[in-house]
Amino acid sequence: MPKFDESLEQMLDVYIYEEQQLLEQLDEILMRTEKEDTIAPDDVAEIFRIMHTVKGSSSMMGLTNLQKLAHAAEDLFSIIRDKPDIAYDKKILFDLVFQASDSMKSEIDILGDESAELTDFTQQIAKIRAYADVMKSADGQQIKSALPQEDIFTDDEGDDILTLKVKYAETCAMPAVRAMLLMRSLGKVCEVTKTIPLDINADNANDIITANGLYLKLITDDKDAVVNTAKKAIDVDSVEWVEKPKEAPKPEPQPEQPAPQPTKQQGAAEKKKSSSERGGGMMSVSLAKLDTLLDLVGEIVITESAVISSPDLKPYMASLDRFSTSARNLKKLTDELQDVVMSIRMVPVANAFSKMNRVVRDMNENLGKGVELVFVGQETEVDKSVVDILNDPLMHLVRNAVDHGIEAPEVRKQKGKTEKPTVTLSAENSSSEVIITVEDNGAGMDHNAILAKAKKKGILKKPESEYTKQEALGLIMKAGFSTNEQVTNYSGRGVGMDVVNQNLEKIGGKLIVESELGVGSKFIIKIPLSLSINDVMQVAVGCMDLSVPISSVKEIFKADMQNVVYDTDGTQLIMIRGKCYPVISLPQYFGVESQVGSLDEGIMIFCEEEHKRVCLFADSLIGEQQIVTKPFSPILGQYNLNENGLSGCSILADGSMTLIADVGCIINKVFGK
Amino acid sequence: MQNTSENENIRLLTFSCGDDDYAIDISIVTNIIEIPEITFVPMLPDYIKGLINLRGKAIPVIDTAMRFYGECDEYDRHSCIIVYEIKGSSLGLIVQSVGDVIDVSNSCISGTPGKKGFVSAVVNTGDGLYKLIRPEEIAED
Repeated sequence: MPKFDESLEQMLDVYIYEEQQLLEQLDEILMRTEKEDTIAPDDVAEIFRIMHTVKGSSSMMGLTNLQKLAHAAEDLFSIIRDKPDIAYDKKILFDLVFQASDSMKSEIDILGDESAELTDFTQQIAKIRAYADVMKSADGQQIKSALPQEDIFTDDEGDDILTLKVKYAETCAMPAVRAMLLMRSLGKVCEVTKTIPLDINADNANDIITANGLYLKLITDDKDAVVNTAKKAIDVDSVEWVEKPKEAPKPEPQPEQPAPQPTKQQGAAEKKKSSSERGGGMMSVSLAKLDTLLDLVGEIVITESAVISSPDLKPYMASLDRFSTSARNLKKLTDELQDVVMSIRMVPVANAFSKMNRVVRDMNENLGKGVELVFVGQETEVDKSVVDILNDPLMHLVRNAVDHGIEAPEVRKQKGKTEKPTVTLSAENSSSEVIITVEDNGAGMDHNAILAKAKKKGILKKPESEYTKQEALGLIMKAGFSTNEQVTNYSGRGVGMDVVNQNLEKIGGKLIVESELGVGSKFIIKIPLSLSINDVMQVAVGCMDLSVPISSVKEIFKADMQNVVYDTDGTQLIMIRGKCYPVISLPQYFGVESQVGSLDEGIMIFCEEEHKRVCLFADSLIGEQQIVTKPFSPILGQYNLNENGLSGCSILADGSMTLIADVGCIINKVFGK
Repeated sequence: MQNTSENENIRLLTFSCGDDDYAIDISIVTNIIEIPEITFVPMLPDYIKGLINLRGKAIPVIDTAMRFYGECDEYDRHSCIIVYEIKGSSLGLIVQSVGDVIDVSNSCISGTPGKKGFVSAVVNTGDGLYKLIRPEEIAED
């Protein structure tokens, strides 16, 4: 059975995204407050706000289980918020909320899966509610929620203003929305001058309306019509007129507005402040839209240059002063536009880092290692897709560091290590790469032990004695390697490092391991700044425009025929600094006619891929480019271009196209694997 | 593509290639453009001329005459590329010239059952005969 109405299905993505953000934010606050061992009023308000939003949007989606769970958690914090000095056990409170947050997260993860039933959170809710009762009874006081009558009427209120009290059914999920609809329909029969609560859009309006009912100040000639309209509205329980009490006004009237429950209002103000400080007016946009925007901007830049440097203008160039000025301005603007659009996709790595807080916290709970997680340079910005990809490798590395790297407290004591067990996550930008390191000050790795283990597992490729320390450490990234004798909850399945390394390589990243026995280990991840932009060397091959990724190019030179030798089977070889390398003629490889006669007329591109070195021969060098690789159209899929040495194509700034060579593939194709 | 109902009208785009007139279901046609610069791609059949840049997308183009008759047409200023979408990707057909958009009822279309090939049916409008092409067949090797 589908979980949602069709109309809601399209909102599911947004809902899931929002919920994930909120819960992450919640975790962040919980982590911080748990560390500080005190929950500041601001944080309470923030947690309350998050739970409240989760509750609201869940009920909108019709997810009653999530709604109720969030509601229970919200109530818990509303108690603390209203009575900041109430006594409670922080440990129990944090555990309850962490559990709730985890349950919500896993529930949201399976929302898209129609076969998965909604989870029943009744027990968990009961637990939270029970603790809320404990808190309340400990304080010996119930929260007062009734709205005092005096506040409904102000002194300067005219006699012709009537007061209508509308009470909504307990089951009504979002009375504030209902209230808004009610006001709209009432608009036909009366003029509503004021509502209590004053702002029915406020965060806490739902609670106030549910608890106290909605008061409407209105002017009308037809009282019955008003009552009838109101009664017809959805979820309305009762409608009654409220008479203005005859008693004398209060000594201190509040002319501005009645303040129902001053604490709540204050809370709302604080909430507003903190949320605006946090977000600074953020909004989330789907990546697909961003990519379209990026494409469009790219086109604008191309079209702009086509217009400005149009050959049609050439004859009039002398008289185009004003045109040239405008053209220059336009170019400046489009350049800026392009920069801004590119920067939209950049997000700080802090997003990926902060998730690790939770990992370390949970592991500390279970392993009792008291590991401290330190962030360095978390403001470093990388492409959004990079951050997404970083999550899993980071998780593995951090878990490994805490589980295997950091010693148990007794062992540390024995070794005389006095410093706090620490895992440091750091990020920095180098020219075209982001360097992320996960460093621990734990036991470090014994490369001899690794070698011995690898030998036992039979994954050594050459004699043991020939392995350098660096190479030995690299063995831990080989499939089927795990040095910990015991498999634990967190790591040690023997696939971890292997998978981490593979995933990173897939996106052009690298993983480097450094370790000093007894001092600690360091895992260095290097990933290209943006996954989509590549540096290439553009060359001409016959009538083709080919681009060779610079990552595989070692050097480019003109061949000297003296250095060219022929093998017995006719393959050309070229001597470079006393060593012979095979030559692959690209025109011949691609079956196009070369524009140059002999090797010394063209250019040589010395390439290395997977430790194989060759020289590629091309007609001429066009230049260096930064390109965005586009895959070939699926229509061309049947011709296996990808297996034959072309990885895709790219559209250049001037609108022309280039094909991208896959050097590794070409080498394998020519010389076999 | 062809509706079973006899009275259903379908709209076709006609074009000429070689000495023949052809028609394509216009609902899948997205653009008709002048022939831009074509980027050569090696290791493809002769009839795939290469890639064109259509608003930031790299679209393969097929020389229709080459595909149908195995020999190139001479292209002039009337020649153009019909871009259509098939299975979610775009494909360009270089044709000698495009003709008109015609509405025909299903009764004018006589299929060529059992026969595989580029032509799925013959359309007789009264003014002329058009060969209705199978757009999906052209891209398959």
